[in-house]
Amino acid sequence: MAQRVPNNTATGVINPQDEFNFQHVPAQALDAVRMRFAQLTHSLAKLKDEMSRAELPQWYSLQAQVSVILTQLQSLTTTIHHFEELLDSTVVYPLANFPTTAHEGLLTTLLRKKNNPEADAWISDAKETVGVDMNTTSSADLRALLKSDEAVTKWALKFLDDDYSNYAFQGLHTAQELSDDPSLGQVDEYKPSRAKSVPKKPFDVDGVLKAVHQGIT
Amino acid sequence: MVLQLSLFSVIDDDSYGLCVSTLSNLSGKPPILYSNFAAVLKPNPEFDIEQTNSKNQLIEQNRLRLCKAVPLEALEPDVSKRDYGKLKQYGDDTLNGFNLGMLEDMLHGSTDLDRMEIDEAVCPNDDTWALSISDIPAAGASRKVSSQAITESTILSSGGRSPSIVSFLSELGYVLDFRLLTIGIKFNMSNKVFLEVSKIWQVQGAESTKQLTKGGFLIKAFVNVAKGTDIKSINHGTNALLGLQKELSGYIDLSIPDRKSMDSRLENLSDL
Repeated sequence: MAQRVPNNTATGVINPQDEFNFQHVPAQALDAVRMRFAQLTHSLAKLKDEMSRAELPQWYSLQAQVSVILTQLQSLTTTIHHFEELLDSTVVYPLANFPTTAHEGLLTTLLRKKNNPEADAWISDAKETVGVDMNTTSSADLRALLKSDEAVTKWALKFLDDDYSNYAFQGLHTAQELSDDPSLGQVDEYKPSRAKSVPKKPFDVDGVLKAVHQGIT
Repeated sequence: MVLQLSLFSVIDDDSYGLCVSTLSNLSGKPPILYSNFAAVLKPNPEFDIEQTNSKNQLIEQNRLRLCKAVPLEALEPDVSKRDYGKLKQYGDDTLNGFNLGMLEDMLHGSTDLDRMEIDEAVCPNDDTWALSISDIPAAGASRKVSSQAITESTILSSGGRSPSIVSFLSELGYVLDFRLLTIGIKFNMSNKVFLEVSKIWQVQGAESTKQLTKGGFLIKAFVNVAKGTDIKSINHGTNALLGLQKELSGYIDLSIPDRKSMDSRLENLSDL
């Protein structure tokens, strides 16, 4: 079995005895996609494995893994997008010398274009969870939904950032930490919080003190 | 005589929560809720007081300050839970639900004219007042903190035929000028520095109040030095205040107020 771009071979019939010319197979694109899929499936399998254990891993390790998976997903989509044209125009067919009868199962699996029933179930499940009926929702509404989702994400990020900026997280050590590691105190790595919420001054100190000492005149 | 070293600042109402948690963490202790009632008296203008003494020196007329802690339970009886968060509710001029008549009772013995002349104090056990006179803060451009001399005494009893504190002081030639109610929280910081975050109302009779600190809180950091001649303690206190100022800089900028605004002498006497 082989993949190749249909070319202008005169007959379209290939002599099974001939050495097949693989040079039109988009090996580079397929390899790039394959590698990213391999990484992603590996990470997902690992995460699934860890989640199914009796004792959950620490939240930060989970978070790190999820962020790795997201990066890998991103990288996969960019790769696919990059080779989109090439992969779209590629037609896959078995060579005549492939033992079709012996490996029928493998062949149908490899050439299957529809999703597995399992994958279909996942997709419909996800759609149901979103609560959007794809059949009745117009594309404009869908776009609006996506936009509002993005807006919520943006808001959450901004809120987090605002709240985070109220506190200083660096350069603060307990006496215990300082005595354990004297090098900590030597460099002043304290960064004041970059809060924009510096208190405003709604009135003038002098005016209030004057009223306190002399009454309102 | 006490020498009070102080620095002041202001925060707005919205910053109060974060400010309190910051200061609690800094001091390592939770804030203490307090409320003070102060009556300021001035020399009776009916009297023709000499402006100069026998050596032809100018006499400055000064206001007196009567001060007394008033438990919030007594002022606002209906509230069960009281902590620093309570202060956020007092944003207005009016103090709803406050028993302000009680303050008048404390000053005059009773607001009920029939009872005024009765030869008994209203609450004889609790008739003590702190009486203080404060000087104008020391001058000098190079000062790092405001330093003000305060002379203080305690009046334990104002008994006699007419027992109210106001009538007692009117016999000494002083009449009421204005009244203040302060509600705030206090932190005991390190090195004997006290830090007060407060709201102040001017009380105009039993009904009306006017908030001086509208929209925010007055912050006062101070150190009391018992003797004005104790240079070592003064330097120590100054450094403690400056340390706090540096620690809070960028968040609460403590600064020295205009000394004239802390002058409690009567105005324009020299112009007369």
